[in-house]
Amino acid sequence: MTRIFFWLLAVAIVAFGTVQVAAHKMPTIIMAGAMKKLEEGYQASANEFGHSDPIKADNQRVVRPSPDLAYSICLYDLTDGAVVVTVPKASNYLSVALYDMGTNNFFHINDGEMTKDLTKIMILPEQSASVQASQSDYEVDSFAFSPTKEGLVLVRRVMMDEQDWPVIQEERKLMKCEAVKLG
Amino acid sequence: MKILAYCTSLVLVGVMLGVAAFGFLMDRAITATGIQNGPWVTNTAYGDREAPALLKAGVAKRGLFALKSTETVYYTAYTDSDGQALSDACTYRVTGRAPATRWWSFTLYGGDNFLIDNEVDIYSVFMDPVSMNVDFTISPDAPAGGGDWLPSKGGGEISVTLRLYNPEPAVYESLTTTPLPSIVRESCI
Repeated sequence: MTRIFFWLLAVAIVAFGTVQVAAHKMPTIIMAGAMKKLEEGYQASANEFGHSDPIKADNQRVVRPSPDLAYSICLYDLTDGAVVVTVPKASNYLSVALYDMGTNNFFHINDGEMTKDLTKIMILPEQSASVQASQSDYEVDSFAFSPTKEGLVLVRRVMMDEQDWPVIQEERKLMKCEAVKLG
Repeated sequence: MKILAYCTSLVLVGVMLGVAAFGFLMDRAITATGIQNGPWVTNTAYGDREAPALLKAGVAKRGLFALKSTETVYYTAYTDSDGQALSDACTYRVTGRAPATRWWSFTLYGGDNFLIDNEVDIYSVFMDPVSMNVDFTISPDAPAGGGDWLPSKGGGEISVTLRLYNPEPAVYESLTTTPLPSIVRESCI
């Protein structure tokens, strides 16, 4: 009887541990898979913007996309030190969201919060000590501290109708995602 | 030999139970930890680093790249206003008013959490700048009476997500009570 009791108790502990490990690992696994799909689908390479066509059933890359948004992505890599993202103020709702490899949205800003025609965001490794020098060198408006060395920049821009598309294309020409070395 | 079998069996059974429990809990994390408002459910922890691990896993699977609630509030309905699961075999009328926000949209998804393929490329209904009124139909075929329509054919267990970009502070103060459109089932095949 004792043997069975301890067996059941041990099974419960192993099952609980499995749930915990799976729950902590799953976002990273899904994120890595999504990054790969986006890289292919948006023809984006590391530290360069890639842009989506209008989202339809036949070109959706990740779950629950919004067909009313024009998406732009940059797969950032902080190996060289930092990445500077430049985004124009759009004529409709636009937001820039940063996600780490655990799917956490650790930074976001929208067009209403942007004070200039072009906003520069510097992505730095978390707890970076290079902020002061970086700001003067690159005229950065905001800093974002990434918990992981790699991650995703996701720009959402509301698309009212097809007539909005040429305007969006022009705005996209002003977007930049550049790796920079810090002194 | 008996000890080896004892240990191996408990690990195998434990891992299998754990995997099954994880799948079950992950699929229900969004609704179980959510804030309910009629048929709509939302959560202020989407995208948050401090969110519970199971919720993060659930969101990664069913709503990857959600914005934090400080930027966007997502309400998703998996049921109609009577609590019946939404199905692509039924016709629903969604009516009411959208909460005060800078921009809103309703998007229909299939049971696989992707947009439902349809010949007319209609997947969403979004804000009319002139009116905050909401009135559209979710149905397998175009409604005879016309009007805004989200095609559901082939979607299986469908769901609809309301996105509120930059909602007014009053929305955050009353996530459970802010008036949201009703989803009324009219008929089923």
